[in-house]
Amino acid sequence: MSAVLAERSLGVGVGWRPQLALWIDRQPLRFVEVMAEDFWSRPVAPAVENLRERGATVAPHSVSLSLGGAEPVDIAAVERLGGLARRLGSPIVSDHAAFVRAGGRESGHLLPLPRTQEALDVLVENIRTARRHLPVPLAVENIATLFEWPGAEMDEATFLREAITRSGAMLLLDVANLHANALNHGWDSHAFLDGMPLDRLAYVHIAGGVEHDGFYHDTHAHPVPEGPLELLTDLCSRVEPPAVLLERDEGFPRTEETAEEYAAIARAVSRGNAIREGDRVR
Amino acid sequence: MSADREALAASQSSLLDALLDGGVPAGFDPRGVGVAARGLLLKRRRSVARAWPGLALALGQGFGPLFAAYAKKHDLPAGGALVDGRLFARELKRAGNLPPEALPYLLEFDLVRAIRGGVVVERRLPGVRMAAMGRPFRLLIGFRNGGGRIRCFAFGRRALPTVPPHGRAAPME
Repeated sequence: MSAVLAERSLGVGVGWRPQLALWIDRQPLRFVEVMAEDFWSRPVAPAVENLRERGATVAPHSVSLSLGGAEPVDIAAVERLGGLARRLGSPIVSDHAAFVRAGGRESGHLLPLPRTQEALDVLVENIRTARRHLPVPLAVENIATLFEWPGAEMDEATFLREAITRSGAMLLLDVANLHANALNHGWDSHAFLDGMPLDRLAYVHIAGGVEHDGFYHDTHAHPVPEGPLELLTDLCSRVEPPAVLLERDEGFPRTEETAEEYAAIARAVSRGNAIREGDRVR
Repeated sequence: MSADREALAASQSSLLDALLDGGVPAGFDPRGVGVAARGLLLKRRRSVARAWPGLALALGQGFGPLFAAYAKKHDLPAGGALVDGRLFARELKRAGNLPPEALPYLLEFDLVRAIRGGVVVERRLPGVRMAAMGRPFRLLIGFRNGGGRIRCFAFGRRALPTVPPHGRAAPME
């Protein structure tokens, strides 16, 4: 397995947010992620520096590079992300297989890409350009979408695998996004995992969501349902992820609930590990 | 741009226009696009409420409709929610819809930060900022010294608090 993040698994980490800072500070966490855009206009929070001093790995996670956008990658934005990684001593940075701007307008949220050969070529070229200007490896994440483009020439697993392997990027696999797309678009999530380049797995995202309007919404504001936990177990039965990271952005629960959610994720990882180890013994 | 990029740019641009202005590009699922379009507006509004809790608190129930009206005319700026909220407040003030309770937050922001080239930057130098509203007349003057300390003075009947009262914004849906 590739060991970009760490030689040994960093276990379960949490996306660092000011509202979770106190809880995170009391946990023996070895991995946190910070929202890169939060630190463009202000210095890195002292609480994050404290975690670093305690030996935790901190990885900046970006949502604004628009790696799948038709417009050329903004080199200054890539270098700013790289600068943050340097400042935090991060072994990796990440963004998404998505676009967030077009025609001079900002979407404010990750939008899906057409799964065509042309869009794939653009994504690959953009990732390669970004990688050339980054001091550390770049991981690319699968997104959750409420709709798909018409005229897909390949399935999402093929599109993402081709993008990762051709560009030399790492994979940031979000099992909650996969769960959302499986529910909303009828994808087979286990077949999706079959198609992932797991030898390039950087780490894993998991988050909560909720169903309404006939869609599953990946909100990062609700508890993690069984679906993503089961996918995490399936994934861990195939490979030991270098780390798993819980994303919570809003609707922060009481401390006990955060702790319980964290424990549930750790249990899902253990279940998968046990299956994998069992297979190895047999 | 290559021909592939040109074609992709056109299709991404028309999808984004549909999501922001309404409509559904040919071949897309109208339900999914509709829910996603609503989601973009709500996310933008939540981000501004989070970046500007004092402004959201001061606007109360009016926040949602006023923000929707603002967002219809003004695209999300590349600088993100902090810039968006400051521009939203500017539009509210122009239209006479800014609640006076929001003034201290704007004054504080303007003393500490500035929007340059569409992004928020920290001010380094000392400065003075004023915020005034009529009927009843209220005036706030804020000073920032070289060390970043802020002193604020309020004038007028029913004078405003000189320190932003830190409160929690009402939850948005």
